[in-house]
Amino acid sequence: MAKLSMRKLTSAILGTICAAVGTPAFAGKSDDTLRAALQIEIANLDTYYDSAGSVVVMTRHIWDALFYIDPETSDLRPALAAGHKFIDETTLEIDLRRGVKFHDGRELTADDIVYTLNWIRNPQNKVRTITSTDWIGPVEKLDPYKVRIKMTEPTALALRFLSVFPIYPAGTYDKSGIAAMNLNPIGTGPYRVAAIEPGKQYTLKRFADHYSESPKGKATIENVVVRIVPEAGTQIAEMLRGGLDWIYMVSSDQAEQLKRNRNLAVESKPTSRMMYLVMDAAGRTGENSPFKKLQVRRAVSHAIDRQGIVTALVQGGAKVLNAFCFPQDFGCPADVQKYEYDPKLAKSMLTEAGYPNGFSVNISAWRDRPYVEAIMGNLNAIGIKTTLNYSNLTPLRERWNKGELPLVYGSIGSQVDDVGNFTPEFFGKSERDLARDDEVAEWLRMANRSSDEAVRREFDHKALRKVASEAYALPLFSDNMNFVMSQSLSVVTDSGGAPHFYRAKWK
Amino acid sequence: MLKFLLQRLALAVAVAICVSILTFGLLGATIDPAIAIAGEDASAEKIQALREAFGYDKPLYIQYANWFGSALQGNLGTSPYFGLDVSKLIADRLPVTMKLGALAISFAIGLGVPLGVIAAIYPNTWIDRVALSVAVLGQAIPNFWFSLLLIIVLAVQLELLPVSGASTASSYVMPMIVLGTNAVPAIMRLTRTGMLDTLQADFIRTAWAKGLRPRQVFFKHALRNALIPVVAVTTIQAAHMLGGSIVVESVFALHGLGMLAYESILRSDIPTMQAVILIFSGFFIVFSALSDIINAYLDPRIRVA
Repeated sequence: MAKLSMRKLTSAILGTICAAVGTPAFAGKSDDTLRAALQIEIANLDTYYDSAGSVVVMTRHIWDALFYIDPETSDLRPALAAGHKFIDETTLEIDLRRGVKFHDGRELTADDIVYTLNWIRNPQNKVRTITSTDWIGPVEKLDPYKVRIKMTEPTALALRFLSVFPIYPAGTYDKSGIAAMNLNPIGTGPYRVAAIEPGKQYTLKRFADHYSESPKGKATIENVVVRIVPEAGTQIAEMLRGGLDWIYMVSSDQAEQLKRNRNLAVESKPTSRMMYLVMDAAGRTGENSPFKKLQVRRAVSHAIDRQGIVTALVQGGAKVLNAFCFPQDFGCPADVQKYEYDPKLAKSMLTEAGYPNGFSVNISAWRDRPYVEAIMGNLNAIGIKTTLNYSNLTPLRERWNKGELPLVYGSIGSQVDDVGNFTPEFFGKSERDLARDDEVAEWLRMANRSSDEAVRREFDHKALRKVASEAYALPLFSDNMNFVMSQSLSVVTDSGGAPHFYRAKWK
Repeated sequence: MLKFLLQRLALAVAVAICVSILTFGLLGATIDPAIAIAGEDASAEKIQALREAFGYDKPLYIQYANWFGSALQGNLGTSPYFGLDVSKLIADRLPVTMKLGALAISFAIGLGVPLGVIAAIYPNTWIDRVALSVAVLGQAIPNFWFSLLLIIVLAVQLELLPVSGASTASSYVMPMIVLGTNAVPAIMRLTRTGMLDTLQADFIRTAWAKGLRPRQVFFKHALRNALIPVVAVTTIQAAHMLGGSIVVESVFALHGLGMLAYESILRSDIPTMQAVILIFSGFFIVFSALSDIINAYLDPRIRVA
């Protein structure tokens, strides 16, 4: 709370000076150099060993993958792959594009694909990507431009997963181990690394030999300098001074203040990160868990003023969600049971369920404390007396896995714009599953095993419709991302709010 | 004096071992690094696989014994994030923190001592009150807030200094002021008290009687004696500067040891956290010992005791 107050005070001061500060000397356009800042420090530029958001941003500029998810449409397109064919439900053959060059001049061949994928599937290499690698079986070279991937089980999302695995030159880790790509990053991406101060600043230069068929296209801006500036206030000061051209993750109150400065453009956009509330419908916390009763779960769903929280706190482009997914994700149904804010109905449902005086419960969360406190206020209003268990993710996750948490607030992003990437974790009988619904788990399993999109969509929709009608979990709202940039700049961002600078343009 | 030095050294080693055990125990009891490594959206299977791969599933005492054995050989471990030796990471970051600490303590001495002297020369006057107020204000303003205020005024409005980074010498001016201001009150008050006590002493009365000029009395005779406790406090403040620059380094994007500590805590990077905490406690141990030794050197009664 103290931090929030401090931020508000800072915002007030920044807001006051925003209008007063004169035209910042944005150097970017004049020397064709886009200067951007990221908040989270990069420990290792190798995304297989650092899953921080900053690394994900850098990766897509320096490296390419076999496939590519278009940031504007979420469509899957071939990148380093020229084509692919499923030989059977666990065998995938991929033809490579010819003439693709690494930044050191070497040509990409099947050896590089075989090396990279076999490296990341080997548990001894301790890869820590968020996206699962368990599904990758042995990868072999069929000819210099063709590889075969055996899958450990039918994996519908295989091609989308392959879109987030950058391809490294064969033998990358031989000399420097997992620091190799942090010290000497070499990829096939639209930018090469011209200068590097690990963890502090990265200077990227347009790669002249980037293959012309790349779905990323030719980078429009010659140079991109990415600095790590952890404090939002410092980033804003740099923007006002003209030392930066682009920042993101700006809080809504600060973004509002910065709109006063006519030299800066402020944009707000909903992201595919979804906030949710999960209830212990299976009674894992005990046989007397009130959330075992459908009426109680529905009462909770009607009690929370999601639109009110969006308007007052989240702000920007955030939207109330009805299905447990982001609407742009593949497999996300639109026609699910909706729960309008109706505290009277919620109260009567509680009474019907046998709780006329409500009950007491702990709500656990590791982020977004102001939102959680608003939710607690809504629940308290219908008689559900909540106590906040606010902690780091680590201990909460352990207790959640053990089935010790009755009510959990959290957030999730799909990474690959497909519900299949996260729904099994919540409703597929995993340790985290608090619903334990056999039917839903089976539908999700069917969806994730099929390579037929129609079949997948049908099973995903059935599963998520039941999740909504049974109110196993309440999707709250999408997250909001605020971007601040110089008026002369236009930057494309994806559904997760991350920038794609190779598509940026000067106006 | 040799016996005194050996005693201090043995105590320092014992404290360092205690700190390492305490740190390891607390980190192990509260953090599952596998969850932090895997990230918010990772599956339970992924987390378990990482736990086994990194050996975080082994009992804590075995993990500590392994770490301690390596540390004795000068190997502080490898960061699972950076993929580099922790000692190399620290060596890369330490110069920024040392530079900032040295500048900040110099600033604190440069401001605190003159303020203390002036306040003592004019006790209980408006000059004394102003000097005290300046010092107290410096300590009362939170570093984070003070940093942003300086950035807004000196960097954004007046465009005199760079907003952040460590690319030029001028980049250190604002961080030096913020960090140094914290130590000013302690140095100022001790200087003032020391000066007031010394100015009452017989030898000062003798100095006045000999007809010495005020400058000679205040600075040659009084200040030298008044600074004995100040030297001791300054060494401790110097340790604070080196260990307490996390916020300042973060706001000014200086990427020193403080930032490394902050980031390693956020990531639950246990080998780095363990080493950084050990280094920070090392600063205190070394500077405390230094403070004792200086005091003992200046005041023989401490040596004898």
